[in-house]
Amino acid sequence: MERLKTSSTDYLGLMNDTTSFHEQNKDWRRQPNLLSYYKPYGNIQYDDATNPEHETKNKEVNRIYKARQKKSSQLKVKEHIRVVQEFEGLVESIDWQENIFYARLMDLTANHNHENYTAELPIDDIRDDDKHLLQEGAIFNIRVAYKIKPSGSKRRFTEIIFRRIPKKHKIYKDEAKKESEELANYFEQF
Amino acid sequence: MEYVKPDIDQIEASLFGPGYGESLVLHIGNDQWVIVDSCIDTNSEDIAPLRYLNELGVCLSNVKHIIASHWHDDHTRGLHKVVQACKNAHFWCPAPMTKQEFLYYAKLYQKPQTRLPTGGTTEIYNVFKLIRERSQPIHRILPNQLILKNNYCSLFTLSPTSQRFEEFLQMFSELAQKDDYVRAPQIKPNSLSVSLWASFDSHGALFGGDVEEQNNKGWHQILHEQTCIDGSASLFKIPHHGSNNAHKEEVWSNICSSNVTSILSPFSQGKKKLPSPKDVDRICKKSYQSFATSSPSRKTKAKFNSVTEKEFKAWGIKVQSQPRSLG
Repeated sequence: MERLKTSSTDYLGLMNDTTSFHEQNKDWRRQPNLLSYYKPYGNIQYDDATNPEHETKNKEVNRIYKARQKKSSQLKVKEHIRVVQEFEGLVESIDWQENIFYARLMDLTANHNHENYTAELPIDDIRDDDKHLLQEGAIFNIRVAYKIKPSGSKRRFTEIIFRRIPKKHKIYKDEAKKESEELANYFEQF
Repeated sequence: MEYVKPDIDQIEASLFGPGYGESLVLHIGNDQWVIVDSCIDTNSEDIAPLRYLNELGVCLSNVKHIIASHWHDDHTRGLHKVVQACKNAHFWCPAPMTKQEFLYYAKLYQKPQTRLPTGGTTEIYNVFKLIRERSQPIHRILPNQLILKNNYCSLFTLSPTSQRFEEFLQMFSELAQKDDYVRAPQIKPNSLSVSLWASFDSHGALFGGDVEEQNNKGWHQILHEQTCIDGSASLFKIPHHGSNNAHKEEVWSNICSSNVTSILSPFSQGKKKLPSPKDVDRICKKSYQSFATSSPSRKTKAKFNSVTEKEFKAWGIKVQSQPRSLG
């Protein structure tokens, strides 16, 4: 009699019918324990391990399990972001009363080298931890994108991220000072 | 568009301005040319003054002078290439821009940390480096200075006025201390811009650059210090894109003739749209005839793909296209 010790379910049949499994457990990827429940290693074996025929079937179960585990791990990393359009922006002026800031935009998706758009953007939509960066001359990125889940569901979103820059290093400043001095001395002779 | 090269005894002023940027090309007679500032066509990346001279079939060795009125990026885009192409031209800029305080500021912000233009510091510093590499002289602009004189015309500087030099350099020393900007911070109002006076026969032309008027600094000082204006202007390049803060009544009444023709390039970035309808009205009333390189009030809603349109609408983001033609 060929029967699994842990369940009366036809294990091989279940493993092959992945579609129905997904349908029955739509959020199965969020439940790591669900996979281990069906794990055939060690605790799931055919009755007679010494039977060469059973041994072959055990190997087959393991092979299918490994293949499925690999497939599911591939599916897991497939949650990704697809950028529809991205702009780089420069804050031109801020109207605190109207709660709006004005900016020039350059379309990075179209690979433009110059700002081709002007925009009015609501201040409320800036992330709270970015609000202190809002000042004239600040640089930010606007990204319109889709977040695509492994299940295939898509969520459209827009995000505005302000650029943070490190302070200029002393070495860079010293070099700038030296070079500007040399240039100024050259110009002084005319 | 048909381009017609001026006769050798004709004086010609051609203004370019795509809605962001300004450049002036002057024919000073005898197939000699002066370029003041530079701007580009953002669509084709063409540099306005070079494209124009190329269309006319002018040899670039006939460009005798290149003048940088100031370093802001709406006046310097493509300037490095202009200087590179016009090898025989003398380069002029306001005297304080050759001082170490300004050069240090320009060098600090020379390398762009963004793909957006750096506020003019990259272009102007690259021009300075090119001049140094070529071991060419630099011409420092002081007020009432003669730039050129030939059989047809004389060209003088009116500004920047010398009283502003120290104040300007002090400002740059302070700006250089704050080094946490992505883009070079701008100083306002623009007190360093070059303005020019050209006299020919009994006529004159006033090129106002970006000179603004605030607390009697700007046009007030120019009018009191100038010694070279010897007639009335029949052509007036309106300063600072026609803004109200660049208006000085005495400029119109004391320098411009009653039948003056005014020309301007508009500026449309962010909230600022220059000239405003009120400015247009004022300028038209003061001038016999007025011309602009593109429509000051033109607004074109930007078009994107449907996803971006939907998102921008949901977020309340309003985007307008920039005019790209050079005018």
